[in-house]
Amino acid sequence: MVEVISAAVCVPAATDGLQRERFTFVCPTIRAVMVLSPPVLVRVLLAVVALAVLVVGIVFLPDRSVDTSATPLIGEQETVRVTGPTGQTLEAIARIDTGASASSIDEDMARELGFDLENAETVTVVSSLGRESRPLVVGVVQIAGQAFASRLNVTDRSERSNAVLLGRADLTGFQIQVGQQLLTTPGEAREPSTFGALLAEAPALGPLELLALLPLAALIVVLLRVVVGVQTLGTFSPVLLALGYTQAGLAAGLLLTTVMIALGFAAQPLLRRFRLPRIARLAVLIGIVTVVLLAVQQLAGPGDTTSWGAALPVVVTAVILERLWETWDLDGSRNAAIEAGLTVGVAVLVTTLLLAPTIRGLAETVPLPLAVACAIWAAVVGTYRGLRLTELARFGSAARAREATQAASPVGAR
Amino acid sequence: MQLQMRGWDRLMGLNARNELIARHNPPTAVRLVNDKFATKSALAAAGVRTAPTVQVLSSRRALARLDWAAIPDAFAVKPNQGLGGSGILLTAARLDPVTWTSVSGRRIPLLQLKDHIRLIFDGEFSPRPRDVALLEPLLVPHPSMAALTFQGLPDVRVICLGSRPVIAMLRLPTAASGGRANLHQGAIGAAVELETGRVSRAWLSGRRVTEHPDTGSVLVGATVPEWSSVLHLARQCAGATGLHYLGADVVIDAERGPLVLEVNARPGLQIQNVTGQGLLDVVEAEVVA
Repeated sequence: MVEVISAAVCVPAATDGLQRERFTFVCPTIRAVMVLSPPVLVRVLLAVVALAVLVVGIVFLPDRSVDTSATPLIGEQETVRVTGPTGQTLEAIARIDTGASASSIDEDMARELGFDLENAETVTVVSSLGRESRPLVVGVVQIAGQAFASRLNVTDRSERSNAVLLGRADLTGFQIQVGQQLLTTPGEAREPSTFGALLAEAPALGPLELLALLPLAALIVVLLRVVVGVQTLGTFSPVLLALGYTQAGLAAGLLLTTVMIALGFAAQPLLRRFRLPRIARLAVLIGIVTVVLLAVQQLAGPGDTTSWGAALPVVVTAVILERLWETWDLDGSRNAAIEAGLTVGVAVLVTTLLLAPTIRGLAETVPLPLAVACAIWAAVVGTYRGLRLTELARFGSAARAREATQAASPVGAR
Repeated sequence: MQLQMRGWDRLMGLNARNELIARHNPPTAVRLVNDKFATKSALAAAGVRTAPTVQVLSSRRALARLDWAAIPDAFAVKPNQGLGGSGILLTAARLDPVTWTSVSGRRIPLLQLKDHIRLIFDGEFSPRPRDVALLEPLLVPHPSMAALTFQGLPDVRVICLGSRPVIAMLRLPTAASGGRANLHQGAIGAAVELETGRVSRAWLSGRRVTEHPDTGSVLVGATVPEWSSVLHLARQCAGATGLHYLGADVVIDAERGPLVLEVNARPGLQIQNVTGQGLLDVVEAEVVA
């Protein structure tokens, strides 16, 4: 088999003399490769299994233990546990604010914990809103493996993005890393696991880390397309969706995407019925996106960076909807639905991988090498010329037929 | 056991095909064959027989000024840059000056025709927001192929490397495909031997078949009429269009004989399932390296 193939390769094609030089240069390499080449089936399966092992390994990696010296390192937002007088405990993401002198807790949360606000002592608080008198309660706060009693003033924090705020009074003994969030879990000074970070509703990645992780996300998408054969609506839209999810939180992001895709499906028959030309359909699409965006803003209330995080999935989904309608027109609603599902699935997978502790660690410590390495790997993977996993199934019939003809005419044939 | 696993070895997947196309098909040639009218002009200039063009409509004004009495009774309207077979409207006969019937007998009033052409103008069926409409006379299948097809126009897809045909299949419409000769819409693929023009194998929706499900006629053993002319036409497409790896779609019209309908710069891979041969078996010299 080796000799026949290499001979066929190295004989210049009679019809095209230009190919001659390229063949003679390449022949020695081809001979070597052919000797070592396992069947295509094995290569494809091995590549996919390796990918799966890598993904599983990263996702289920045990959390790293952060240096627990006398002063644990926390970020601008951390998960805390607050315990009330009845022993009731609630978890919330607290804002770490060295600009505030005292700590504060939301009214509704305080009531839920069992604090008696009517009979509590009051304290006068001077803030940017002026002087006001607020109830003061004492609860046990657990953060980064440390627990202490904290004097919390109670106010209406429902319009703010965090139900709990920790001020200087409670932050002695901590180091605060500005620009990072969610570095610890309440029980100990360990990083939250992948799923902990996924389900948190705070941005888990800073802008620099995001930049460093973009080539990795692109690499994952290239691998899924070129080796596995996953077809999505827009090649890199899952990456943009994933970026949005890391900022808005998975639950909020997925909800937004699902609502918009459902709207997109519902709108298509209407647009067909009115026979709107393509330009008008795009205008309607922009209208839908804007309405959803405004509705989200109203519901979320005035927030800070989380609002732009919520915007990103919406904008990206608008781009995806255009492709959804195209695919529907060309291949039917079933294929469109499948591709939409795959797009969201890949986005969730990419988000999960980006939030894994090891990957976040790499992005924090070696952002540039990570970006360069992933960009190079993506280019290299893009040159893969073998079959995709989905094609193994698609061409099973041809493979069986080839085996049959090979069995019928062995020796000397290919 | 070794043999069983090697069945996929010489099959061409999308990765290999994309590389082959990027390497061998110049972008100018790819753009040319995406434009049906430009393709026909290039083929005609090289002396390759194609379907005649009755009229090209590029604006609403041209549509308004069109003399419908001069249009043949049976014609086809196609978007110039239409993807696949989308946007093609066929009429089979004329009832009165403003009404036609479709191939399946449905009435098509002039208003509906004009609506469809306006959709074509707005790029409904094309990748761009604007397009041009082509009117061609309706092609009728050769009588000896009539039994092999159901209500549509069968064509022969010949994949060529330069001027060398390497593999060929006949695509036969069925009731399920709505008269369209697209494999993934339910048409039958029949492998054709290059030397003889004889059908050796037929494949429909994932399984082998021996008869047409709608007409009952036996497919294996049937011969494509005027086969040497079909191959001759396919051989000339590369030189006419500038493509090196291409799929030529040739129809055999009852009146005009073999004609090149379309040239594809990215021919599909299903032909491997239809013929039971891997494309890398026949084009390996070009793909390697």
